[in-house]
Parts: sequence; C-alpha cells; structure tokens
Amino acid sequence: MDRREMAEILEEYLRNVNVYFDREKEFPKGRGPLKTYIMEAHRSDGESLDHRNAAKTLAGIADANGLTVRDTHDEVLFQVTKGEVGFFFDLLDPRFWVVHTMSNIEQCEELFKSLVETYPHLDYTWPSSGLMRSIQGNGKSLGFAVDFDETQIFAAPESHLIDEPNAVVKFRFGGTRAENWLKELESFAPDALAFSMVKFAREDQATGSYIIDELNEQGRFKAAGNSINLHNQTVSQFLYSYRSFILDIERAARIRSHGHGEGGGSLEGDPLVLEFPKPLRSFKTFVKELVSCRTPLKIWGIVEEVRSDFVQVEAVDLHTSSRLRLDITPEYLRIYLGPEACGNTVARLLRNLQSHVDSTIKLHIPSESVPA
Amino acid sequence: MSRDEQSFPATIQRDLVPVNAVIGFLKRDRKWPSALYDLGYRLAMIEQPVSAAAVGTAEIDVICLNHKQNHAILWECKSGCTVGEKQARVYASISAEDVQRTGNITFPHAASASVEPVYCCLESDCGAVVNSLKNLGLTIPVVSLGKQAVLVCGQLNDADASIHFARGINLPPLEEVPRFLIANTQTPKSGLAGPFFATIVSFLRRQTGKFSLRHLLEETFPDWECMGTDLRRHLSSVAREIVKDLCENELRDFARIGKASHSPNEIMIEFTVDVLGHDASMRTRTFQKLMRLAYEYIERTKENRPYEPTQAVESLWLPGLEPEQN
Repeated sequence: MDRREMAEILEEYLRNVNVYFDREKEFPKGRGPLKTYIMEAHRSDGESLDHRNAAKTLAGIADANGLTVRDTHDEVLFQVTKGEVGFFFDLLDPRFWVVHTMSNIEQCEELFKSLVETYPHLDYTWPSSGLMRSIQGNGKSLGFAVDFDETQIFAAPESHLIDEPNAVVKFRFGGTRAENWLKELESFAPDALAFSMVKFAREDQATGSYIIDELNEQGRFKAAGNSINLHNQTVSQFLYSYRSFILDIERAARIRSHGHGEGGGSLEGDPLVLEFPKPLRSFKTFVKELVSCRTPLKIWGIVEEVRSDFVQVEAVDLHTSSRLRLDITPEYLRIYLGPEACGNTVARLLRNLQSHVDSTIKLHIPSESVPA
Repeated sequence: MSRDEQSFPATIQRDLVPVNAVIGFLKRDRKWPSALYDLGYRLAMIEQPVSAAAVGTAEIDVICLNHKQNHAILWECKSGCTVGEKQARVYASISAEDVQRTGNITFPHAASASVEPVYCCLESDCGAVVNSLKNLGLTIPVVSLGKQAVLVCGQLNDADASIHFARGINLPPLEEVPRFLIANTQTPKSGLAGPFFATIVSFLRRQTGKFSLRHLLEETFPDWECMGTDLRRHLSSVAREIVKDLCENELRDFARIGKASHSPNEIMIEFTVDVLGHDASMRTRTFQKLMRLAYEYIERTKENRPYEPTQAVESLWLPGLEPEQN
C-alpha cells in the first residue's frame, strides 16, 4: 500500500457512494460518503510533533485503545483498523493529521470522540463560521446548516425566551438555492448564523470530474463524486487556511519571555481580544458557564471579580490543557495565552462563542501593521 | 486628584498598573491604546539592569526602541509616589553607550544611537513624583495615568512622542490594563495562590506525572525569564510554600511532594490520581471539585488560617475517587 493505491481505493469508493449525506444511516454498508477528518495532535508533553514522533504518538494511542496500525510503503501513511472500522492516517503534516475512512460514520464518530476526550494532545479542528464559508466559496454552494443555541450558555427562564428573537436557530438546507436562503436568513437572524455545515461542489469541466463535499464545524469532510484529486485539493485548501490561522495565533499571542535568568530580557506576544458585537445581556451567567468545566466551553477557572462588570480569570482549557488568563467584560474577552498554549484553544473558544453567543464575533490577530 | 480619589478595586495590585500600562502601549491590544507601538517603538527589554559609569546601576522597567529614529526610551514605572534619589540620578545619566554595553540592546547605528528616560506614574502620585524630581534638580519627563496618559512635566526628545503624550491619550479604566506582569515582591501569597493552583490543574489535565517547581513558575509567570534574581527567589519561596501546603492539605489526595533524583534539594510534585482514566462526566465533576478546592484555598490564604478538613469537602468525593484508607 502506498499513497497512489490509497487514492485509487478512495476514488473507486467515491464513485459508488450515495450523495444524500443526510440519510447516511439509512444506506447499506459501503454506500456512505467518504469521510475525511482533520485532527490536531501534539506530543503528550505538549511539544510539537515531528514525523518520527507523530508515528510513535499514533502507535501509542492505538496500543491503548485496541487499534491495529499497519505501516505502508509511504513512511507517513498508516492503515489503522479496529473491528470493522478502518482508516488511512496521513501524517504528512505531523501536527494536522488527515484521516480518511470509508467506515460507518457512527462507529467512527464514537471512536474519535473517545480519543479526543481521553488524550488532551489530540483534538478536532474548529473552523470558524467565516472559514467554513470561505472554503464553500471555492465551489458551488449546495447547502448549509445553521446551529445556533444561546440557551446552552444563557439558560434563561422561559418567560425571557418569549421576548428573545433568536435564542435558538437551527436550519438545514440542501440545494442550489442555498445562497438565496442565506440572504433571507441574514435579514432576520444576522447574529445567529453559526454554520455547522457547508456543502458545495467543485468540478473540472475539461475532464468531467467533480466532487461534492460537506464540511462540518469540527473539521470533518463528507465526500462523493468521481475525483479523489478534487477532494484532496479541497482538504488541502482547508488545511492550509486552518493551519495558517492556528500558527498566526501562536506566533502573535503566546506570551513568553527570553532572558538570561539574571534580570532583564524581552517579552513577546500580544493578548487576543474577542469583541462582543453587542454587550452580553447576562454577564454573570456567561462567566459562570464559561468556567463550569462543562461542554461546550470546557474551561476550568478561578474568577476574581474586579467590578460587577469586569472579572479576571486564571484558567485552564480542559480540552487542550492549555494554561490561559482571561479578562472579561460584557463588551469583550481578552485572552492571554501561556508560552506553550495551543492555538486550537482559541479556535475552539471562538467557534463555541459563535455557536452560542453571537455568530458575528470575530478574532483579530495582531499583525505588524506599523513598520518599526 | 487626591490619592484616595484614584482608588482601585481590592483585587487589583495598584503598583503593577504603571508598568503594565507602558508595556501595553508597546503591544497591539484592541482594548488598550498602542500609543508607543503606533509611533514605531518596539519593546526591547523589561526589568533590565543598566549601569551608568560613575553613578550606579538601575533596573530599567521597560526599554523600548525605535529603529527608524535609532532612539530608545527608558521607562521608570513608579509603583508609588516616592522617588529614589540614586535611581533617578542613574536614569538621568544613562547614555546610549551604557544601554548598549550594559543593557545588551542593539541599535541600528551604534555610534549615533540616543536614549532618554521617562517616568510614568499614577495620576494620584504624579504631583509628588514631579516635585521630587524637581527637588533633585533633574529634568526627567513624567507621564501620568488617569483617564488619560498625559505628559505632565518636561518634554521628550522624540518630538512626535512628546506631542502625542502632551495632548493626552484616552485610556480605559485603569483596572482593565492588560496584565503582562502579574506579580512582584509585593504580591500577597493569596494573590499567587490562584495562578499556581490553575497551573497545577493544567499539569494534571496534561497527564504530567510529575513536575518541578521551576516548571510551575515558568508556566505561571510569562515574564519569568526576565525577572531579576531577588524576585525569582521570592516567588520560588512562595511557590514552594504554597505547593507544600496544597499537597499536605487541599490536594493531598491528588498530589504529593517528591525529591528530584538529580538534585535532592529540589522538590518535585507527583500526581497520585489518574483523572483521565474516568468517564467524561466523572472527569468534569473532578475538575469542578478542584475548582471548589481552589476557592477554599485562596480564601484561607487570604485569612491566613490553617487547613481544616470539613465535612463539606469530604462529601465532594466522587465514586471511584475516594482517598485510599490505608
């Protein structure tokens, strides 16, 4: 087995699968779409992986979870199986693993969920709504799902919900009129358009090849069509954009110092600020839920109240185990990343705030705007 | 404005505000003005000792460098209203050559480099600071921090910076200053309890079997590598005290103190539970319990009272995580 053979197998499979992804559970075995997961991995001590220890990390995870890993003729490509479930793990990028599978989605999801919960050094990718839409924009829009639910964070009494215009917005559309529907939705729920799925097609008219891809909010693709190359190009574009986003966060925002230990040194890194487009209406509830250790935010924190509308938090992201400090007001949330913190922490926080607070929240990563 | 008028909430360490404010001016925080960054200055060093020949040595709080102008500003960020005479005379005498030779700063053009000192203090302290400098016969510019950052005395050699600060730069409430430096020798033990506890929890989640005191300090303080030896010694000593206390009390069923094999005088903290070996809901409850323990610890540290195991705490034990009885 090598990369070419894998591509042949996946392309053959792609041609036979059913394109109605939403009804995957009804399909007979082997007719569900190709799934490609993008996972983010570190060494267990939080350090970056290189090719050699990425393979070792995979082997360690597999060992502990009853998975069998088989080498291929490509040194960064592995076949992984457990019972009826099988994967191709592509560790070409030792940090962002691309995992293809033709297996049953429920079993795959269950396995990944358990691995991510157990290993703090393994995480999903968390594309923002904007990134998902920009990937969709590279093809022809075929559908989307919006999943916004502020009641998960602001558990208001029902009497309050009566006056709340967009507390829960769940909408799923499939078809070529996706963009028309979106324009409609934007007019009455502009701050609740948290995309949980985007679907799109790409084609090459010269060769007659095409691919229909669906990307979800945890970096999982579903695909059907006749060209694995087009699918791989789409995955590659996503990977490039997401990786750049994460590396930009880490480069700009990890606050770290360099010195000789005798006093004096440089201090690098800027805090990140997430501005809430409109002030949080229930500040205390938000803070309490943020540090409740529960999903979706999964942050541990000690809150110090400075003013009734301003708190400082010593925090830990229970997903990636990154050490953080936060300043929170109803208008903004300032994030100080520790020297070894993972950019995925910010991506996940942004993603969850878009899904549960306001879909228009944006992250501004400081860049060198003024020449020194 | 009198001193009382510029009061801070009890949780804010007043003496860290000026230094964080100046570092903030050199950073790109959307909620704090990048006043110096926008003028082309970049943070070069913090807490850097610099010696002026025949006068003495001072630890410069912040040195920022403008590459285009080949010019550096040396900031003394006053934590109160008193001005040390020797320190002020050193600041006033430091030359670009001193900054290069003893402060390890590289300028684009060594021979034509220039430097100037500026004092920064809270608005309520600025009258006293200005008078003290005057009485010493020193003409060091002073920037005060209140609703605005404003040049209240003297002029900067950098004309752009001088105009900018003379006009005044609007500031958010000072307690919202970005927190780059979180501790100094004045920080009370209770102020350090939360940051240390949080770092221990991150190690626990990371499945770090054991960790050293040094690792705890490096992860807790972003400026650890820049700190002078006195501050390092002080924080190490408080960290050791806190960790020992926690391992014997609130965290006794989670962690214990061990000795480093390579250096018997150094302590290592070893975890004795595998939090990740449990299902997701039990893990969540364990971390919630750690949060309650953290608050209890901070509270008793503030009140300076010894640990008293309470029924309430014991009852928080989760099935499967009870302490061993032997």
